Amino acid sequence: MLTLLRTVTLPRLREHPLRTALTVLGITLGVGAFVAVQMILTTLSESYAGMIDTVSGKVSLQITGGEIGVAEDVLTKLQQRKHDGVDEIPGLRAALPTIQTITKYQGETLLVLAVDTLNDASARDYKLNDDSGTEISDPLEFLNSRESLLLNAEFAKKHGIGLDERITLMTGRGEQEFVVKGLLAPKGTATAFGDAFALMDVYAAQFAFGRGNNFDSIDLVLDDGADPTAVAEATEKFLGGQIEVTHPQQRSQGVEAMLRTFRMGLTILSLVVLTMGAFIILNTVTTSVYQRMREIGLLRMIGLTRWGVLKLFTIEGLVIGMIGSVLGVGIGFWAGREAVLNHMRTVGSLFVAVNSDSAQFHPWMAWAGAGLGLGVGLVGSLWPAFRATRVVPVEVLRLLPGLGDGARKHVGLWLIGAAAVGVITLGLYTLPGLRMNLHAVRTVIFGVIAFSVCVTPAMMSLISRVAVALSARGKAPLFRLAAENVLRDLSRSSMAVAAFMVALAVMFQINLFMTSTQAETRSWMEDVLEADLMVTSSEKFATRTSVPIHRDVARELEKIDGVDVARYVRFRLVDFEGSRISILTVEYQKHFSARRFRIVDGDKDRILRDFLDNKGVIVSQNLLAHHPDLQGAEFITVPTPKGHQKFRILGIINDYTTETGMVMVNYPLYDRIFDDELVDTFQIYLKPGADLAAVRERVEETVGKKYDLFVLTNKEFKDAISETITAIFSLAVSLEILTLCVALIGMVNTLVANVIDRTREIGVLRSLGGTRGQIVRIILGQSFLLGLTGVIVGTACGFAMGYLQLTRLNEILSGWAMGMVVKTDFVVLSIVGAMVMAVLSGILPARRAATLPLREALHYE
Amino acid sequence: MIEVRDLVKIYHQGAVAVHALRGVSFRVEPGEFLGITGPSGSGKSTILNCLGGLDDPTSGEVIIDGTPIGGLSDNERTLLRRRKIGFIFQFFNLLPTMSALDNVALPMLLDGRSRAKVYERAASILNDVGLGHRMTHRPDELSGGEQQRVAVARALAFDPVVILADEPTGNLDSKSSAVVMEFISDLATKHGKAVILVTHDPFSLGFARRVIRVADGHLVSDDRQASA
Repeated sequence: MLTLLRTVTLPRLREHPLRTALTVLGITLGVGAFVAVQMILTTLSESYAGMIDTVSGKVSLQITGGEIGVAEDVLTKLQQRKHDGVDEIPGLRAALPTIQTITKYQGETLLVLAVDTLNDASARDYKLNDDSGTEISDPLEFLNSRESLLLNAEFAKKHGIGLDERITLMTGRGEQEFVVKGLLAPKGTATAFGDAFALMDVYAAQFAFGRGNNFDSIDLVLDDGADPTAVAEATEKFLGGQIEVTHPQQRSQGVEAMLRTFRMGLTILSLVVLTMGAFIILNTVTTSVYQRMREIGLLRMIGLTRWGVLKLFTIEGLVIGMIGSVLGVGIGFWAGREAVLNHMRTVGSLFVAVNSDSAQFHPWMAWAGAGLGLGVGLVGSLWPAFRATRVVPVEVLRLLPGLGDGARKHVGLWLIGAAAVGVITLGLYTLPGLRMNLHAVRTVIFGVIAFSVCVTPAMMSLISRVAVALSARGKAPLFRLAAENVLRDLSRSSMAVAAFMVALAVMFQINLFMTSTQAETRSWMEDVLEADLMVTSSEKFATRTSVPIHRDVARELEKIDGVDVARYVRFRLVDFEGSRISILTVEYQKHFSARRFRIVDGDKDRILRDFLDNKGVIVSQNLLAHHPDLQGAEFITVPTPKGHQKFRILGIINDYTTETGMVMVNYPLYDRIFDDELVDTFQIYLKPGADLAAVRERVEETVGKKYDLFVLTNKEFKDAISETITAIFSLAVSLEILTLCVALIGMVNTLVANVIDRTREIGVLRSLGGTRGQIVRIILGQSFLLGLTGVIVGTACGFAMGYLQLTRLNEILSGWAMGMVVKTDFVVLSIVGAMVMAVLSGILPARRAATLPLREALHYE
Repeated sequence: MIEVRDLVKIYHQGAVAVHALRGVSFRVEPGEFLGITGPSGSGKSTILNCLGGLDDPTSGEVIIDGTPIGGLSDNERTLLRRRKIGFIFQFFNLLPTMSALDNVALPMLLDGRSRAKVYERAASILNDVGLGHRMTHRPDELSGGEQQRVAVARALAFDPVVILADEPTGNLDSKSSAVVMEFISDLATKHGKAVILVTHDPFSLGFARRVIRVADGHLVSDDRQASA
């Protein structure tokens, strides 16, 4: 094997450096995309899970309702569980309240963990950063006042903060000073959020961070050997069955559910890029087999077995796969790191608050990427390698160049395949029982792609034949030569065009999805967001890394000249039946607008009247899609700080606040049940005639400065949301551009191979008086025809995929069924752009063809 | 008139310099049929390549119809090749997807000439070489001899001053070889073209009025012979 590698494969790969480099690049980009995407997704979910693990310490069980928190009463009850020496919850050693909050120090996100300073040592380990290495027996003694905190030593060092120094953190009540009473060794719990970590007393945090009489969670520490399930059941029973006890890790499962569509979309896209790489390998090795027919014949004559021939070409694919994999892992690591550092703050903050300063890279990513790259190399080379084993030595040694690749006769077979796939796909699509079946819809989308791939050779043949007919009798001799070349190279060109077509189709699909989402949410925002100004603590709008604001700030806002009403908006995530849904509350009674409520069904007036009378909640349509058991239900039970509580479902609303679903509560009802003094956003309505710019300036100058808040106009707020939607899609768009690039590399590769095959012909044309410019035009004509085929089939396929995604897949995954919105200018630009790119892909091969040394070209075989 | 003055060609194969031509000079007049022969590697094909502007000599000069081709740009040389030189190859080198008529028409179409005139002339030349009835056939539908006659017709498309033929019968049986060589010979005798034939084949060489023998890059003899 090594002998074949050294004596045949490597010299051959070196012989065509451009083609080898392009093929390797295809694999490199595919593997790189895969590794980068895995890094991004892993960083997003693992850093959150890691944070939970680190913060949880020895905690086995937890009482928490997502972001809703738990009332102090629950803790009190748990602490009073022993009666006459009998523990009502055997195995429970301690119940410890905690608050975890995100704050800002000099603009940098900082995680504050607040614990019961007297008892928390049984749950978590803290070590002070002592140069002598001595452990402090009870470091929590440092936490003895409302403004004391311990700071991660690395964070302190980075910001030049010393012991007993005062630092200012942003809280719901504006900036507040704290005293650094100690520096934590950067290990264990203190690294829960990278180095950006502070520890303080839970009761002090309750006040400082506006938790009222609530904690974020109550952590349960068990006796050694206690059965967590039994303790959880006993605790739930003891608390009256209204409180759910969970494992800390379950919190990250809810986040995983939120990330599901995001993860799936990106992983599929990265695999599409790799598939393009497989196409390129297939193409390259096929070309290699075709060009080396004589060599294969010779090797067979001197005793190389068929197995040996198979090995020869699979080794070629594997070598390319291996080089591409090694480079791809490196590039993927770099790109993933860059994306995490520069991109995740925007997108990640929508899902979870994670410290994304360090990208998560695991060896399995490198192994998986390399495995995929090698797999692609193997899969891509197997078929041409098999074809090589069929070579009959005597025939190929007589072979003369200039013959077609014999694919024209296979067009019929491809059409039969297309018809079969088309019938199956249409059947699946029209079967009513499979309408909302995820696997069936995915199969239909795959069927559309497979159908388009099968149709591509026939379409290319048709287009080229039309081109030949149109340029007959010398009307356009160069174009005719180009079309003839395409027809003679149909099988190899089909592979490259199919890859280009799929890349285009995916681009149209993503764009249709993005455009339709943008249009639908924009129209929704026009109804929902009527306030003149929005005030948030975040640069754009409230995210998981915003610092919530105390609601009393509204009073200060309403005192500003020109402000009529400042109403609360609070958005919280709660764990609900294995996923994380949102609870949205607004002071709807202030500046009420019925337009905001896109009630799907029922008597709208009655529903809104009952809603304003706090008789129940309104749920989003997509919540029902995710939880079919709620369809037709009269009540919904959601976690509150005082345990699970049942709310009457008054109506169903069409809403795009969160993908996992939403429960809308009127503020007075929320206030009564959730005991929460914080808000995420204030919606400001101006007095009639007030000047928007002037009021905005006044808000910024007063409240804005005092609490470090951002003030956005209605339009800016909506634009920010639209920009964020674009940002969410940006990773997909980046991957799509990569897919297109890899597909174009495939086109370049095909044309380079075509030029190599036609070397002698090009030499003849040149000797007959064909200028370099004319040779260039022939090759560009070929790339034009390939591009045209790809664009026609790809556009049709992309629209079909986009339609299926919007009307079927999206409804299953997010519960949102949207109409398809087509941006004509984008479609036209994309088609023109794709054509230009396709034609440009011919430049390199064309230059190569035009500059072939004539003497060698004429004697090339 | 074709003139070759002190032609030297050195190829570099790695560190080794191969002297393909070591100062070859000769002239060919219009209507003259010159045969060039010699053992493999003697430099005869190199002479043909330099004459056709397919390769640059290391030194020396090639003058075609009064134009020294050494100083021409690639484009000028291409146009010279198109209009003043006709090539005939051993493997015919016809475009396999085009009919005989299209193959002959192609060089003229590349020159941007009127389509009607191009096809009229192509048909006329094909008739001249006896293929009037095979014009619409593609190369794979023609015999070797017919393919080479199409190649001869193509070489005549522009009424060139010189025809360069490289082993034109190397791929033909003896009967076809005789027919093709008759046509090539007629190009000199009847059409007044300068014909330069490179071959190993004594039979083909027999048609030439003058034979140059080359060996190791030198011109070793230049003999005139009676017509075949």
